[in-house]
Amino acid sequence: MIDTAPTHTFLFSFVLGFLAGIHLASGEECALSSKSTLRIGPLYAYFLLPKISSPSFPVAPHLAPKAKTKLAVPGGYAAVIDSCVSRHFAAFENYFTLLDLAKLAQEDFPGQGLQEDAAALRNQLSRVLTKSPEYDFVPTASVPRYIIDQFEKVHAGAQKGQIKWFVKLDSAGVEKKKQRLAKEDTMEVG
Amino acid sequence: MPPGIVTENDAGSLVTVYVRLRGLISDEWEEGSPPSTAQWVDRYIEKLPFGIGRTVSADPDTGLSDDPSSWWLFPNQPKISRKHAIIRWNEATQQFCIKCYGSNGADVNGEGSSPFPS
Repeated sequence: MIDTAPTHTFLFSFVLGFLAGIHLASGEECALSSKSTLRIGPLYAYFLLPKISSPSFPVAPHLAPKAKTKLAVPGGYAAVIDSCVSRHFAAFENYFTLLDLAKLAQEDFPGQGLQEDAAALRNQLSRVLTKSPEYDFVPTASVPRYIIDQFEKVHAGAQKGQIKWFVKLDSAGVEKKKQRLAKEDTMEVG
Repeated sequence: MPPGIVTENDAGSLVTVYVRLRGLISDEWEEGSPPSTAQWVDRYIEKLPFGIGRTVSADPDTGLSDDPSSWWLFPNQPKISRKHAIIRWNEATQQFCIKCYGSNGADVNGEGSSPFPS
């Protein structure tokens, strides 16, 4: 799971970082960046910030994009959603929008027919999300402000009023959603 | 909180990781290159603030907890203070910061020869 091989990128960062040093006495503080190195007693360490797909932050194998997944096989769109949400949305604390999801799906699953019609893709993803016990729609008002701020940084100019927010549910939420879906199924049958 | 990514920890649980600290530990840095006994060590920061020191201790000022997962511990290193440094996320500047509490100080981007292979 842990990548132990140093990369050229980070060794280069290390050299850059050594050009200007700061000694912190007790009580002093300074900012860090991904180019920072630390020495604390006998410990020398790089300070690495996570980047999606960085080899220094290996993603768990079962979270890696299932690039060969065919949408025609069972779980096709669900697999796309699971992969994209798990892999990309830690920064959004499992909140996401259809806009994000569709964009990532197109990037992560090339050749799967996802590029043809963005609006149709968002509709299809929305349908799968609606029926999935793992995810649910949430009103924008219940999404933390800093999550929305991050979204707006990425999607400057997006029509905010039309953005639908979804969330990956915790175990309690999954149970509630399952009950709701079961109730809806019963009503539909009736 | 800062951006992070989801990965799997040693216990097989999915966690959000904010930072990876990776380095070498040795008492023989004065020789300029890492001794053969020095080993790479890695620590993923899953919780913030994050402490580095010899023992866990809560710090109400920074919100650091005494949960061992919030600490990188070096219990057998006398040059490291019990609470030597705390790494936190500065929401105002959107940057990580390190504050030193240790009597031996800490170096950030320190000058000198690299202990790492080039």
